[in-house]
Amino acid sequence: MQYGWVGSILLIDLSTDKTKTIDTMRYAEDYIGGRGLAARLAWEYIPKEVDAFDQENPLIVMTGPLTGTPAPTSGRIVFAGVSPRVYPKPWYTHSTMGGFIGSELKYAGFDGLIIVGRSEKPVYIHIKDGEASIIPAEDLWGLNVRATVDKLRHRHGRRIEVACIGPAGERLVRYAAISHPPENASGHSGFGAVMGYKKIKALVVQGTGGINIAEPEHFLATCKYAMKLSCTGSVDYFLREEKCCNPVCGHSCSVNCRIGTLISNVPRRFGDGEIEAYQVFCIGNIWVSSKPIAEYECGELRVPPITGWKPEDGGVELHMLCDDLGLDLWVLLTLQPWLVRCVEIGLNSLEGLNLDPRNPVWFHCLLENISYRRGLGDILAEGLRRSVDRLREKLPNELIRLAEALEFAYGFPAHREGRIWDPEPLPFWIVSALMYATESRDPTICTHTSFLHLAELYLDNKEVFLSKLKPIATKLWGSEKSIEPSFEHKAQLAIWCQHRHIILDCLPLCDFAFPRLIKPFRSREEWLAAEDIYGDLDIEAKLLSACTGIEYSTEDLEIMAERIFNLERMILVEKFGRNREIDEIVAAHFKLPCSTNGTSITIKEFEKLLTEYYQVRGWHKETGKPLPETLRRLKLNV
Amino acid sequence: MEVTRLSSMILIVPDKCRGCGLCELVCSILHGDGARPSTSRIKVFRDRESHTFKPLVCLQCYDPKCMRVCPKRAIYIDGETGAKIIDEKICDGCGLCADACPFKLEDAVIFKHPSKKVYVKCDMCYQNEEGPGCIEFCPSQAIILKKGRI
Repeated sequence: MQYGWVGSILLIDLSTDKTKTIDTMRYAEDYIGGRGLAARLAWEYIPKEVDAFDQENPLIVMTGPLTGTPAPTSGRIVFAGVSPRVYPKPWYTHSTMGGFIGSELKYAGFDGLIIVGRSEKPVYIHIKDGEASIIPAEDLWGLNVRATVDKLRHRHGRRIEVACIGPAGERLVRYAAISHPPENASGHSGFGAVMGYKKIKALVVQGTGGINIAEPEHFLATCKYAMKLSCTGSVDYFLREEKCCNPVCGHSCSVNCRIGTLISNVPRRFGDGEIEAYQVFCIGNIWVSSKPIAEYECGELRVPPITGWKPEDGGVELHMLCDDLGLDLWVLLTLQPWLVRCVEIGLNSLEGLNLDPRNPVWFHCLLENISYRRGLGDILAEGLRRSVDRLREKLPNELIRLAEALEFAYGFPAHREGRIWDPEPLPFWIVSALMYATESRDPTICTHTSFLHLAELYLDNKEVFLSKLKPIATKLWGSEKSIEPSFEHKAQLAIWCQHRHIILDCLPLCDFAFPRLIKPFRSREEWLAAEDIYGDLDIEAKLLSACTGIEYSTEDLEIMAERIFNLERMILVEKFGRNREIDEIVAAHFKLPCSTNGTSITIKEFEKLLTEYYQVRGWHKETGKPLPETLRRLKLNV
Repeated sequence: MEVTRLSSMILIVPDKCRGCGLCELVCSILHGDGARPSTSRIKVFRDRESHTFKPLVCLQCYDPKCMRVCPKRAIYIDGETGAKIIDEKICDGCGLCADACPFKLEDAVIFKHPSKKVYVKCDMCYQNEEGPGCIEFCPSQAIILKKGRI
């Protein structure tokens, strides 16, 4: 009997309308699931130098062995493939989301999907209890996300789970999301546009099957323990303001993470009636905020603050509009300040459009123009970096530099890098920098709780933080220097963060609750009084072992994570020409001073650090390619 | 059959439910079905658009109509918990109990098990020392145990 995994991955070829199944267990023990299994399949199915908009680019949808079980926060799903968002050229990456569709896919009998080929006409894929059908979707093409879901529910019943695209995905906007309304989307990697290219309007899933658990009693006891240890969500829980108990954003979530906002009884700005909305994304809070957020200034580089709008001014509705058009909300974080800066330096119109980016009505129109690719919207739909390349001759140097700073890492928005949007001081931003340099996308968005969120505790009281964390640093990262504000001993810490997050993305679990590096603290007093703050980093292995019946230790999972990280690197190196030179692109960004304490790193120092990182990884110091002995050690046959 | 006067019931506080579905998963695991919401004896109806979540479960009626109509007398009352329990060995799947249930909403309270072909309903986890699993695992205390009649 199969435990945890349900046993098969469905391959759908849209060009021939044929389907076949692949045995999950062929790779499951070595690559677990989610991001790991996706990488293994990508190695086999992605041809060299393939473009995101090419029918040979597969869209991989993958769950993990814990998806659909009561393991807390396990209701997650991973999308992978060649991303059109990546700048300057698309390459392989992944994107994860919560919700309920991952669990439903397993109840329908599949651990994952690989969708290859391209349909000539719009279709949607309906998966029900082991059967998949490709159904014409001409009547759905052109609809917004909510209307699509309503129509599909009307047709297939209320208890279906839907992931679909809106007009933005249909028109190949490079940051189009795969939406799983009302609360989830896989946005950053632009896989909505890959669905649009393949002419897939929606994935509709319903299942009545189940997932076998190897040791039910032990598993439930382990889940209960994990719930207790993750009850407060991320590590800086008690520093966040008190909020009501909100709806969950994913199946099996028992955690009060406080990142959502419930907004109700607010008159609509665009249209009639009142707003009833629950916004889970971090950015939701920004768009309904009335106070300026995250301003940054250095020399001639000035990032105007994100102003946001109050709910009654349209803030919530702009958020909902993005969801409905199928746009990645995060792009607003780069577009608004860039357009505001255009106006500040006297550039009042672009491509014939008068700019008024502080006005919610104007922004409402811009979002629609992007999604329908009209006028300036058609250019901005390519992402800020590509838009600036196209408008380069009309733009002053400052605006070009600003775009480079806002989307510094391969076209992804800056996040938790100590400068533009989050205030991580040293030693935190240097850990981010090493991760940014060596991953396929912005890595910090999925590494919150491992180390980066600890920055809030550091900023709250540096001395207390260092004294409490030093024993943990010595034990886990080999030296207490790793958490000191210096450039020493940071490679080990960055690698640890990367590995812990691969483990989460494979099982999968939410990075707002795990890993539990420190115990949950409910108040500042409790945190200050605690002598031993260490949480439990073995939870993941315990949950996986009890669920699957295969004994995994934390060390096993860490080796597995290292194998997957190196496989992802090999995909980038062998199929997309990734090398040291490309890794070093991000170095220039970290020459800018940190917004909290002014620290920065020179290109030369960064190069030294990168060499140290390569050495710890076992990569060639000039090319950045994993050495043959590293691949052998990890039993990676590529 | 001796009908005891003992009675307790599982009560739902809908305002506290966050829609996570842990109750369904724990229920199906404790009843030997693995993680399988379709066989859970408690069902969460979610309207995620309006943030309303309604778990539905048998209220263990004081005058259980399901029990009265069963031609096989497959439903009995557990002496300790007061739960009305369907004996799966006796049930022949006729479905009269589900028809008789005054709360037969969307086949949530008494329904045909998709694989066993017998009818199933909440038995208040009478075999579980910790009591009903849904109550034990609910992270927001939206499910509570009420002893005695209401």
